[in-house]
Amino acid sequence: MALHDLVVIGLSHRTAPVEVRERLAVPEVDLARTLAEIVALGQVGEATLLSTCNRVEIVAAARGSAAGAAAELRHFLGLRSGLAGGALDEHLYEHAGRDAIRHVFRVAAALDSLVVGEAQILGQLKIAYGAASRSGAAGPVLSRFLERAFVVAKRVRTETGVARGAANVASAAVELARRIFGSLDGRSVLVVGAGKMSGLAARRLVTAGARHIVVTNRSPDRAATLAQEVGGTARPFAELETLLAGADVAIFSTGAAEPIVDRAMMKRVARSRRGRPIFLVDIAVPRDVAAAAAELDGVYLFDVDDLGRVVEENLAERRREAEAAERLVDDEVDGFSGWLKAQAIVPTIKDLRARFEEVARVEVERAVAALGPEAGPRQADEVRRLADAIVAKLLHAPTMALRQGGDVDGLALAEAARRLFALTPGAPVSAAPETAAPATAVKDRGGPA
Amino acid sequence: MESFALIAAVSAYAVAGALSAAWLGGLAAGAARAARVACGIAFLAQLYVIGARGVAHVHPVSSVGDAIGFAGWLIAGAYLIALVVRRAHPLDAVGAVVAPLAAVALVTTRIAGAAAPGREADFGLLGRVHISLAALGVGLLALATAVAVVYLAEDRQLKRRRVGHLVRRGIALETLDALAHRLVLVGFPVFTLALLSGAAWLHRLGQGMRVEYPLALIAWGLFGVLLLARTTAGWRGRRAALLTLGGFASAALAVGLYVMRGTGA
Repeated sequence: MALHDLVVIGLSHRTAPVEVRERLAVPEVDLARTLAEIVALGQVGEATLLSTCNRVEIVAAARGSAAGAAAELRHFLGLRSGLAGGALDEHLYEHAGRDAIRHVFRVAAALDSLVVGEAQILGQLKIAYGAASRSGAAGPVLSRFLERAFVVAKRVRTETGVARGAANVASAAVELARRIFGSLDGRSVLVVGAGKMSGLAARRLVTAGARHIVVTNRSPDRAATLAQEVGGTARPFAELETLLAGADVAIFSTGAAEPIVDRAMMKRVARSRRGRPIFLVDIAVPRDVAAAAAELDGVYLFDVDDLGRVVEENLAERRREAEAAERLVDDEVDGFSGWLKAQAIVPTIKDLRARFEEVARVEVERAVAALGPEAGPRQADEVRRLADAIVAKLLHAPTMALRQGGDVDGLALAEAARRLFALTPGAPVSAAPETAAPATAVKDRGGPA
Repeated sequence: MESFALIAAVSAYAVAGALSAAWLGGLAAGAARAARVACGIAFLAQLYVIGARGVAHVHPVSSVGDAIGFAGWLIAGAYLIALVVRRAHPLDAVGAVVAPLAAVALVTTRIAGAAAPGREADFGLLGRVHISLAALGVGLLALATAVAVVYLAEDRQLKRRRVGHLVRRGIALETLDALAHRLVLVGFPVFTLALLSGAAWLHRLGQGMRVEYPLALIAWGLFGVLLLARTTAGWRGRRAALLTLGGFASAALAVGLYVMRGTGA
């Protein structure tokens, strides 16, 4: 297999509007069938199909040339989109060889995501790979490639800060709660109002370890419904002050026109809490908690704008960290490119060495036979040593050139060496270098090493 | 060589403190790692100084200055052990406090005048016990105060609804509050014993009350009030941090006056 055999073709939120993306979207249940259609294309050896709300792309190992496989995939996607006259082309991106490796590594590490560092894309890529593996569409090349991509993604997440910090309001509330309380294990959460956002934030807090969830709302029915959803208990709205005294985190999202918690109430609450801090998350508009309540010791109040600002700052921090992540990806691309190159170069070096050694062996035997019986074992050994030395010296320069050649040069040299020395796998070496190998024999080489 | 090691230790502590502070201020994680290394180098350099003086038969608490430096070394060692046991990054925030403390303690050693080999002040056992307890007690209370300062800085950011690097990378507020409380819990009895042994020592020497003694008593009273109020009235958080600062200011003033007076006893 050659480096340029890897191909990526697709579209994403960066290149296509949702009206176009949805035309190519493939539900998980249809992945196997679609992959079967893709690998049935003549030039595609292996394939994986990644379909998310933000991107649809095919990662393929070409059977022949990358350009040929890309053309077939482009045509395939065009047909699937139903767009007339190549209208899809302006939205498609295409990467081959080293660029394809970089692209997939970046996608896996969520560096190409709408929200840099988000965690979902890695799971989606794993699902895509799983479907390709089960259906037989992913072979040894893509398996090695995608498994490396998962390692890269993990390294990026752990060694850089691209995944650090909350990227949405609900997660920001959890993050801030952690900055105040440390661990959230066993913490009490009070949900005031039965809005969608407060439910989401409460669920995040439960996931983070909070255990005692109490929901209160002017409408007891809605409170009971949300309490059931988040595994908490519903309490009457009239008990708000008492409930606040027992909570560590309170999430407000009522539709009240005026604040339902003023400074005086919060002062009473703070007194009864005997210095224990309380975190008030006010995501209601108009706000539920009077701003003056935050002046009290141990009361930390964040409204929806404050949380939004935290999210913005986190995203800015992620973008800064993305530079370090890009460098890490570059290193990994080099490493994987090297591995791929070795898959093409090493067999050539081995074949070249075998060819030379076999020719030398044949000629040595011939020379020893010509010397006759008067030549002792010492003379025979000298001839062999001489031949070995000549072979080693002759092979040194081409071997180094093959090993040190770049991605493109190394492969071109390997192909040239195969042509020049008629290196065909399994060919009888003693069949002499005088016989030129058919050009097709060389061209047919390809595919996974 | 000993002087060189001392300078190296002070410099490395200072560098460690600056790097930890820079990391808290937003510098990349490499700064925190470099701070750990610098703190480790400083600790080893100071170990060399203590060892060299030990070979010359100079006890680590042969003088007030030596005792202060030794207490700083013990605190830095405790911090490094904690780093090895728990490799979590938030602990690096503590380095921003511990390393400068150790540096200040070492500099104080020179200002107060470390004992020269063969010329140690004759404190007697009681004097040495007092100095050791005072250095350890004040060291622990200094650490509690430093933690309280970090608490107040984080509290201020959260109150202003700003989540800066300090809040993102530092230790959670409640953890800081609990840590400061534990340090006071341990430091207060040690400090109490230091005061008692100091009073007994002065009595034995036949010396009257000195100006630093009432200051130390004020510090003791403030820390006592802090512990009592926390238990009975739930004083914690910002209020507790401010009281810790007040108590330590008084203790530091007492130590400062003692050091500036430069007497052997």
